[in-house]
Amino acid sequence: MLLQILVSGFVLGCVYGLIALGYSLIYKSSGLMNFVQGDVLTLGAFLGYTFYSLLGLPYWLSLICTVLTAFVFGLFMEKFVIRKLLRKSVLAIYIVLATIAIQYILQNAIQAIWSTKMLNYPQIFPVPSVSVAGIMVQSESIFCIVMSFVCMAGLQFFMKYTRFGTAMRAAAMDAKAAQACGINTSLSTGISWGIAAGMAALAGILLGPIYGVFIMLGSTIGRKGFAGAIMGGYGNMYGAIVGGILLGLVETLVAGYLSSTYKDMIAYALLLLFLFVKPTGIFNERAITE
Amino acid sequence: MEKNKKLPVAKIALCMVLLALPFLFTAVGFQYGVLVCCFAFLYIIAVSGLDIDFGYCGQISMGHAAFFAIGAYGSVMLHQYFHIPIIFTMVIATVLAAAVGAVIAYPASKLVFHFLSLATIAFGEIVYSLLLNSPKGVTGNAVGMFTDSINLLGFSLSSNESFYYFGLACTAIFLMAKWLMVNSKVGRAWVAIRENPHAAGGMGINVTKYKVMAFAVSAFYTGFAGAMYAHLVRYIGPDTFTQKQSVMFVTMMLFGGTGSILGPIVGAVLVFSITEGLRMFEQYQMLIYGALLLVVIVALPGGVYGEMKKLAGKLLQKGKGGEKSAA
Amino acid sequence: MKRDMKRFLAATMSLAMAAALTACSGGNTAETTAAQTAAASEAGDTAKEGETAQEAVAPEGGEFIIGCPQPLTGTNAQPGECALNAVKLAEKQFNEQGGINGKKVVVLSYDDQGLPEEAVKLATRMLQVDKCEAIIGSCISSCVLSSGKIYNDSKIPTFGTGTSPTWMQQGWDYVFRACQNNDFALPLVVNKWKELGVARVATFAGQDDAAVAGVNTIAQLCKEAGIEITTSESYAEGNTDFSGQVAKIISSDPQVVFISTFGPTQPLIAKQLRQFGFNGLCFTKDLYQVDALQVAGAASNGMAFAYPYLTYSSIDECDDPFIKDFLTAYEAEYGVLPVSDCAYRAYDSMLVLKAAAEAAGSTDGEAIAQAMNTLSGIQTLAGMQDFTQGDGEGLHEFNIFVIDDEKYTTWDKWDGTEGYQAVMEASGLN
Repeated sequence: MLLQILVSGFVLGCVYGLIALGYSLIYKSSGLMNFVQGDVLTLGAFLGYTFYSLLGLPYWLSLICTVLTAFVFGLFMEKFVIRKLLRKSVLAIYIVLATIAIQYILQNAIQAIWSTKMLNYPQIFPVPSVSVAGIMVQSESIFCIVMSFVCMAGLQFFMKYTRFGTAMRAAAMDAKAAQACGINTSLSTGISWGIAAGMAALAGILLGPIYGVFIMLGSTIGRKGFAGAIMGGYGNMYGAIVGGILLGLVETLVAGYLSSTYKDMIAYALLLLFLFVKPTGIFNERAITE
Repeated sequence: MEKNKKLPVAKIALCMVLLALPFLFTAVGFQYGVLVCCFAFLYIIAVSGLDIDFGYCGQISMGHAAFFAIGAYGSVMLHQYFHIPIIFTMVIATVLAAAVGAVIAYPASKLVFHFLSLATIAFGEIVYSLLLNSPKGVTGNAVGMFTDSINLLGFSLSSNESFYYFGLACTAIFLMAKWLMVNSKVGRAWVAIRENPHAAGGMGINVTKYKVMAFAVSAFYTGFAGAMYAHLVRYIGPDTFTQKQSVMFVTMMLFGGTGSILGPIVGAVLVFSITEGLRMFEQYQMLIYGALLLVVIVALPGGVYGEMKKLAGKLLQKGKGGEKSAA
Repeated sequence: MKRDMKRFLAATMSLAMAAALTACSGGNTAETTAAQTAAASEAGDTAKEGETAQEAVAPEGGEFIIGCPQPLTGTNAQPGECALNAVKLAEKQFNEQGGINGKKVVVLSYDDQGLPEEAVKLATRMLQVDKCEAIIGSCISSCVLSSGKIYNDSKIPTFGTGTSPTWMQQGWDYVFRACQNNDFALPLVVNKWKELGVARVATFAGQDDAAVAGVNTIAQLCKEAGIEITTSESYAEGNTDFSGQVAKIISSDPQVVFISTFGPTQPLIAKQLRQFGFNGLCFTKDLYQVDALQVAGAASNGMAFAYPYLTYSSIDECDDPFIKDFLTAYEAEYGVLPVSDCAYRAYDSMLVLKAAAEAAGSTDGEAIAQAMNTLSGIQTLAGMQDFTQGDGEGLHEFNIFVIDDEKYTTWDKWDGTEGYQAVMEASGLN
């Protein structure tokens, strides 16, 4: 039983991690907060369903299409809402409120477009489940784990070693100084919002076959992902995944051994403990001061 | 100087309108408006409280539904289990909400924006989870609890009209208290902390103390609003006290504009008007609400009242400049 | 000076807001319900009657306004939408047949968002502004709980469309139900367990009112029947991963799992239970929906429930002629079949309301409520409904359905088949 719980907690944690990566990336590259991740996940699941099931595209193509669409969505969101607000140099909270408004729009637009019916995302792999150390794990779950680690490594590499990533970090630290050095800060934040949205949508399309596709799919996962990002060390890519996995493990272990009734409560209490005792998270990421 | 003479007239007119509003609503066959106003009053109190915390002291809270819940459940449970008259239970529950607020605020006061908002979300979720799964079911868990209306000196506030006047009086008292507070030494300390906590600390302001104070006061306001809610609806269930409710408070505050007395009022009244106006759109109601919200934020990123104030300030400056040059 | 200006501005603003509020709400009624509301509030006005008679086909003699508050957005949008569609369909059909007591049926619908506060506002609005004379909804317990008293005090016949027992236990004489009360159906389930010789049951429940009530009833019934509850697990709304709970359930070694959930959670729990290796018999508290069946596929096999009706993915699967007619009309109107049985519940409520109004010979709330307690033998989608017990509940008989080979079937048909043998063996019930 323990092994089973550990494996599924790990799978769940990787999903949280994928979402957490988006939060961390946006924070790292622009110091902003975004509440819309969970709903982009839902959007991703519906887009994936449309491309794969309705339009009959091959899986890899629908995956790319979904991620690209979400990337463009994120880019537009930054360009037409966030950027506009940043230019007016408003209180940061108004940007949060804007993402909340987008959340309302997204949730209800998805409902209006795809109806309230729960949709079935057909299986992707010919083998439904794989045996890991004697535990049956859905193939899509394995794929999910692989993808979240690929994303983590890719992002860390991108942020640390590419010119563009360095530019993004510089833009977040001091936008004016970065601009003076010839960095296009507008583009770099835009790209980071796009990537964050793309990753959330990726999580969505990966979760489709596991959980089915319905309008409230991402609502809770989005919030848990945020928690994961902070526990790992806000702004740190390794931290996002590790924090996500930690949260996933804690949740499943609590549900399995302590009390499923108080599962969420214990998870949030742990988060509070982290925030109060060690706000820099596991990876000791220095928070950007406001 | 002429305006100074006009002013009391406007004030008195406003008071008269507010006092006569229930009759006006009845006269035009729209009694429903009275209930909407009752809700608007309690939201104005809650949002004004949140504004003390954020607008003046600069601490965000995305979990104020928790204090709303403590006020509501506290009052209902004290009445139900200890048979204390309702108006007293409301006060006790409100104090309780403030106390809990202070306890949470102490460790939370060192957190900044993102971290504080997540901490308050987590706190809200914990309280919500407790309401749903209370030990021995004292909160009625998923079913919730029924309760009575407020009994004020032998006079029951069971009708919406009577509650309206109670709400109006409470709102006036709470707003007056807020006005006194923010214009006192405490209020100036809050603003100093909002503008720059380090500088404020350097000036000898006990930052933690004032932050905790702001949070507790704001919990007090929201807690009282929660108690009002419980005895207006006379039924409370966990569904009301979710993250959604906290977001609603924040939305109202930001919609109006922060750091003022009138901002939260404008915000609450506007959001209420919008939701009432959008009812006919049924399943598209929330979609349009979201779009409208987004448009207003992008167009008026300081809240409706905040932007108006800026505009009025500019006009006034021009006017003053004109006067000076003329003199 | 500056402060004066501010105050002056604010005063005018507040006034403008107040005006806007009235205008907004006024505008709403004017646009959506233009003629209806006017006619309703002046039902005695003959001139108005003439106007409505012109636009309506057959019905004369005014209008019968029915309010329909349902959750149309958010988590419970699906049942709310289905219920509303069915009520609108009934409205159309009734008016084609000449209305109710010669009055044209007018349905006004609103989104209560599943929030008690909205439900209270809507109740007041529908009674005071729209002058609704009967209410169908909501399917969310907390909404009925918070607004039920308002309807009851105003003597407005109200049909809740949820299955939780709680809101019918408040002693409200004007609140009725024309769909399943879970408390009435669950004894059937436990009797079935006794029959099968089940000794150990695990429960898994959501944290909403209906789900908790279902599990509590089961616990009570099991105690009486001497069945052991091996473990009681729960989950919070919005969660999608239940591996911890499922692992715990399986390690407690139950023969049967009772699942008390709602909507999109059903296939998730079914899939996870099967994936973790529990292939035995499961009972859900109410209907295992057709979309859940499609999503969970083979994992749904062995899921059983006591319920009056089923939802279908195509009309051909349905063999009850009355339901078939309803589904055909529904599909013709909306292009799809109802996914949630809330459509059936709301449609039945409309049928019962019509029968009551006709029995009373009036659309007056008090008369309808009195007539309700004498109604029996009313043909609805759920079969014959009988309100003569005086408890406001119309349904007392249910069937046990089960899913075999990814299709619905009845328990009796399933009994003894290959699928039955396999599930019973997995449950250790041979």
